[in-house]
This record gives sequence, C-alpha cells and structure tokens, in this order.
Amino acid sequence: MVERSSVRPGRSGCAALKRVLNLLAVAAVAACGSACETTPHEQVLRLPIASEPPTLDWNVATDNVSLRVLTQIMEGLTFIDAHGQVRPALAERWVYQPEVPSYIFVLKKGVVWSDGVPLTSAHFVESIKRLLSPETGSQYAYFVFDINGARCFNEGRCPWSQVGVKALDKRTVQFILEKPAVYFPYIVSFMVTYPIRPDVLEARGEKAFEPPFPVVGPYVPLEWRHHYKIVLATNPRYHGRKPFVPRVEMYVVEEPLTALLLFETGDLDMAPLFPLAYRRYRTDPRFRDVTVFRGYYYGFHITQEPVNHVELRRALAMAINREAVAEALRGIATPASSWIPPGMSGYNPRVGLRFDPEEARKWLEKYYKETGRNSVELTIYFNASPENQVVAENVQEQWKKNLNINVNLEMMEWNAYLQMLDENPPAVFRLGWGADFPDPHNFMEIFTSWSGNNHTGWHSSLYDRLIIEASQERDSKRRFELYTRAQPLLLEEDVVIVPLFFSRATYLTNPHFRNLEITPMDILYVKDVVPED
Amino acid sequence: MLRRLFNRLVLGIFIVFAVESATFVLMHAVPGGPFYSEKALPEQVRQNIMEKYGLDQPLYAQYLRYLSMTMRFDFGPSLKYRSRSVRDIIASSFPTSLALGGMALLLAVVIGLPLGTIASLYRGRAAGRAADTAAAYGISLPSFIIAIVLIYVVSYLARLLPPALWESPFHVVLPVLSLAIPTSSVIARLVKEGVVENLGRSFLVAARARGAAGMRFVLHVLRPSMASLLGIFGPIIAMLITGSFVVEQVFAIPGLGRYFVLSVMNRDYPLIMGVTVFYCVVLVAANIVSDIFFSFLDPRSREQAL
Repeated sequence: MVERSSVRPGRSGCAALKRVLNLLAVAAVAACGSACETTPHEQVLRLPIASEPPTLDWNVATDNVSLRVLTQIMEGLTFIDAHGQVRPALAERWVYQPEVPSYIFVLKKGVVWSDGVPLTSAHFVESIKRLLSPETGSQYAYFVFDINGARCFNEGRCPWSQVGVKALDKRTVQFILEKPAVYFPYIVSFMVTYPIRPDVLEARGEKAFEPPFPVVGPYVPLEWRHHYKIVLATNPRYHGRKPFVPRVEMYVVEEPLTALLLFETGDLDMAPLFPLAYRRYRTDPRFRDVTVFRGYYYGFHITQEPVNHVELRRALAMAINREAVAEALRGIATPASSWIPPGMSGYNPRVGLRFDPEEARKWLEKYYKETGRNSVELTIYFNASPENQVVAENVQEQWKKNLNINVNLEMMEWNAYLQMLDENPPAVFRLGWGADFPDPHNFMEIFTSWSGNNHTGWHSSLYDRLIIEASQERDSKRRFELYTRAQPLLLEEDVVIVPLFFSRATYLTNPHFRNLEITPMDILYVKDVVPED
Repeated sequence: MLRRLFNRLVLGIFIVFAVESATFVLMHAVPGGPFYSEKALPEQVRQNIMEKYGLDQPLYAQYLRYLSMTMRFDFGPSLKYRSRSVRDIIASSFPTSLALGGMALLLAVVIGLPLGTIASLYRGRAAGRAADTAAAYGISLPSFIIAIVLIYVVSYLARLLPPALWESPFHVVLPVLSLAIPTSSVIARLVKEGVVENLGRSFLVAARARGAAGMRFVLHVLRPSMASLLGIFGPIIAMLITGSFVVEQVFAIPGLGRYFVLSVMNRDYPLIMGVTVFYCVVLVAANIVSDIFFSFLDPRSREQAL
C-alpha cells in the first residue's frame, strides 16, 4: 500500500508542471478571495456522502443521506444512542399516561434556535401539523399515524383540531395516541418530527432550507453547493456540549472507489468500503465495521405456483447456507436466520430454519409426493445491483446443488421492480428493510395483514394479534416472548420469507479523529468526534 | 444566408417540440414512478403527493402543462430534490459542465488538429503511424477507463494531482483530460480524412507551385479540410458542455450530466423534461452555429444557400 500523505499538488513531480500549477493556484486563490479562506486540516472533518441529499426539509426527507446531514444540525425530542437506546435530546423527560393513552414530553430549559429564538412546544406541534398536512405531500406522514386523528387529518377527513398533538404550555407537548404504542419515544427521535419555525417558512418560502437557516442541533449549515458539498460549523447557541470539531465538510461522492482514493490521498477522513476492497483493508488499523439494523431476505408470494406449498418453501429455506452467501459478499454481511436483527430487543438467535440439506431434500420429496411432480423450476426476481447479483447466483447454485432445482435469474431496474412488487409480486423475490427506529415492531409489522410492505400474500390473524399485543406490552420480558412466538410463524411454520443476512457498514476512518463511528442505526454523530493531538 | 438561418431556427423549434413530445411519451411508458420506494406508502399518502405535483391529472393535461412550461422554461419543482426547482438545478449545475466541457473541447482541438495533420501529411511514415495509433487508442478507450487510469497513475501513485473534487485548477486537469482524449481522437480522424481527401486537389497543387511550404502549406490544406470536422462539431460541443455523467460521477463534479441520468432513474418527470429540452436547445443551437461557420469556410455551401 502506498504510504498515506496529504496530496498537495506540487510536492513531487516535475518542476515545470509544478511551476505551471503553482501559477494556476495563485490565480485561483486570487480569484476566489475571502470565500476560499482555509481552516487548518485538523480543524476540519471531511466526510463523504453517497449522493446529493434530496432535501434538508426534515418534514419531507425520507433518505439516509438527508438523515446523515440533518442529524448534525437538528435534534428531536429524543435521540437514539450508539446502543440503540432512546435518550432525551430536546426533551428533558417524558411520561406515559396509560389512561388516555398519551405521552407528555417536557422540553429542556433555555434551548434556543441558532438565531436566538427560544424553542417552544408550539414548534413541535407545527412540525407534526406540517408533516401530516396533505398539501405538504410528505411520504413519511404515516410515521406518526399512531397519533390520534393523524391518519384521518392526512386523508383530509378530519380537521386539525381532532389530531392528538397539543402544546400544554411553552415547554410541554402532549401526544395522544390511538393505541398505547410503547415504541413512541423512538418515533419522536426521527427527523420528520424535528421542530419547525413557521415564521422562517413563511418569510423564506421555497428557500427556507437553503443555508443559512436556523437550527437547534450542534452544527449550523453554512453552505450547500448542490451536488457537491455541504459545509457545517459549530452552533454557538447549541444547548448541549460544544462539538470538538469546529467545521465539517460533507462531499457528495457517489463513486465508492473515488471516495476511497480521496481517503487515501488525505482529502477525506472517512470512506465507505465496497466488497472488492474489503479483503485488502480488513486488517488495516483504520478499518471499522458494524452490523446495522438492515435485513435482507428472499420472500415467497405464497399464492403463486410453485411456492404455494409450504413443503417446497421449507425445502428452499433449508437448502441455503447463509454463511456461504455472506462469504460471497466479502465482508459486508452477517448471516441471518431470524428476522429481528442482533442488537435489537426481541432478537433471538434460535429462531429460524437452519441450513440442513438432508432435511431440505426430505421436504422436497414430500412436496413431490403431494403434488405428483418430479421437478421444480423457479425464477428469482431482484433489482439490478452487483450485491443482489452475487446473492442470487449463490442461491441459484445452492438450490441446484442441494435440491437439484433449476433456477432462473431475472434482474430488473429498481423503479420498475418496485412497481412489479406493488402490483404483481412474483413467486420468489428479494427485498430488504432498514430500521426506521431500533424497535422490533418496525421489523415485525411489515408482514402484518394491513402492511403495504407485505408483498407475500400471507395473512395470519394470530401473527397480527401477537404484533399488536407486543406493540402495547410495556414489560420487556413479556414483549420478548411475544416476538419469539410471532417470528416462528413467519419463518418456520409458514416459511413466508428466508432472512439471508444483515448488512454491515464497513468503512475506513482517519485515526486522527476518535469516535468517528457509525451506529447500528447507520447514524453518525459528528458532535462526538474528537480530533487527537 | 439570413433565409437559411431563419429556416434552421424554425426547424430547430420543431425539433425541440418533437423531442419534448417523444420524451413525455417515453417517460410515461417506462414502468415505475417517482414515488415508489422500498418502504411502501399508504394509498392516501401517495395520492396527496400525486395531487401536489399534478400527477393525478390526465396525461394530456400534464402534456399541455409541460408545453406551456417549456415556453417559460419553468418546469416547476423537482420530484426528487423537493426543495429545488428544475430551473434552479439547471442554472446551478450547467456553468460547471460548461466550464469542464469548454476546457475539454479546447484541449481536444489543441491535441486533435496537429495529430490529424501529422497522421495525414506523414502517411506511411513512423510519425504518421504513431499519430494514427494514438488516435485509435483514444477512440477505443471510453472516458471512464481513461479517468480511472489517470487517477490511479497521476493521483494515487505519483501524487501529482488530486484524484477528484472541483476546488482549484489542480482539480480540473484530470477530468478535462479524460473528456478531451476521446474527442481529440475523433477530431484527429476527421482532420486526417479531410486533408487526405484534399491533398490531390488542383488548388493545393497550385499553392505548392506558388511556393507554399511548411506551415503555410498546412494552413492551405487545413482550411477546406475543416468542413468535414464542422459537420460533427455541433453534436460534440453539445455533448461536452452539457456534461458527462461518467466523468462527473468519477471525479465528483457538480455538473448537469449527472442529473440527466439520475432524473431518469428517479422518474423525476419535471427534471427529465427540463434537462432534455435544455440539452435539445443546446444541441440545436450548436448545430446552427457550426452551420454558420461551415458556410463561411466552404463558399460552395454559401452559394447553395443563396
């Protein structure tokens, strides 16, 4: 490996080139004036982001890249720590009132926005109102449908006065729920619920989220050069501990190879690792990895031939060695058998069908006997990506080897694939799920009969009942038991999905910065990053 | 000449209209939609968004709306980049693509012209063969391969220039080279063809007889040979200045080329329409300009127009 050094053109190379480039550099500096004033490198943290954030309007944001930026400049009532636990952020404390049912959050004293305006509970109420308003057209409006009247207001059937969000006083906000959802404190950690300033929205209109705009997080947005970089600086009015790194520059680097090269040349302090680079860097002291709350599964549409027979589904599930799938992905996967990921409450490693080719063949024989067939032909549908291709080829090979089943692969463009899943799901398909909040409800609700994310055609009233019961159960032991009863219905008895692996975030970090780490929720808190002397 | 220009303008307007119509039909024929995501939306939430952006209206109404927007060159907000208008996206990213493409074009001409001239005047000799080989490699290698090789050798191994980003003149060198090399090879090929075609012509024999030699002779040869080059200059200019998706992606440059591809992948209908119409206008304008130059360089074409 080439020794790391900061690339500053002109340090090496031929003298003529150096002279020409230096002249150009002088011209460039003269041209850019004070806007290009530089900060010493150790004072700046340079991070890559995988794409242009679609928006910094947190009421309408839906994606991880927007979240990566918004986490640095905004806060919600709560936040999720590195261990997936919910902690107070702008709220000082909260109480649950079972008789209503409702949650009451009390704001911290003396919190002000970066422009000096005091934060009040009305800012949270306005945020929920804007999020749910049909005119906003927010995709994540459904995220707060647990609030009483929220769905009804979003559908335009009820007035706002019927929605269960109230500012009881300047520091207290109440959320009246339709059902006693125990995971609700997680919901108010999510970006779409961050407080808003109606005065700023009104005054700035479409430009309300073009920097600079008032925020309550540890950093303020200074500059957003679209599709290129976002510059943040510490918020002098931040209510918490002052961040250690005074300036953050986030560059839009879509190509992972480019990010890696920029990291190697000292132009970035972090770089995501892709499978091909994994083996080279896994023993590097700059290497980091974490299993994130993101599951990857093969689903069966249980009404479609030939997977409408549970014997065949069970045979298929037991004929996949998940270790081999993870191995094929070179380090970016942790093998899965359960659907609830490790590290999340409710995770039970004993749940799920294991790799057992002998047993799988027995189930296949049962299927042949029952249907009178003697062969199976399947097609795996997946969206185009190198990772999905590797997985599909690996499973194709395993099903051929272990069950002597012929498998075709059908790769589709992402958007067309999603439409197909929505309108006409195939017998075997791949899909994933990344946690919106680190509670098992977020993973388990997907396969309920009312979920729009259930593309399997499977409905189980017992499963539905267990999920509702668990979502309202405040005793953690009892809750764990409920999920341990529900998971086998999905994975073992009816074999609706086959969890294959949980994703791992693998990346390199500049050792100059301590705590530069991604949490299992795929969140990076830059305020905790410490530059080493 | 003016009449010819007028005719070309009318034709250009018709082409923009035809391209816009075809784009509208095709983008609605492609499966998928702007609000499909891994996490399904409740039906009413989807309906709210469709209404907000007028996507719930019948297709003919949407088409008429786009036509009226084209007149004002205002395609409304992007469906993906929700806080930004299409006009704002084009206005902020086009200058970067223009700068990158402009420099690449200049460099391509600086490399391509002499390369083509050498290849034709020294045909069959070592210099001519070397120029031919260089042009053949330049044409065969796509920009992204050139980009990756340049980054690896110049930035990673030699540590001479930064591997990506768009900050200073140092950052400009590699992307400009990556774009310019294939184009310069195309130019070299066309120049060679033009020169070879003209070499035996009587006016050149006469020029030589009058004592034109060296650079003077080369200029004599080049002027009529430029005609074939100008024929493709319009598309080349349009292609370079409207941005290259691959080069912008590899070097993390904030140009328009990325939006051209990403808008289709995201089914961002207003952005697809806006960028396509813009691209089409640039292409038509570049063709008209190269046409005017063509008529100045080749008197025969001027006469035809009259």
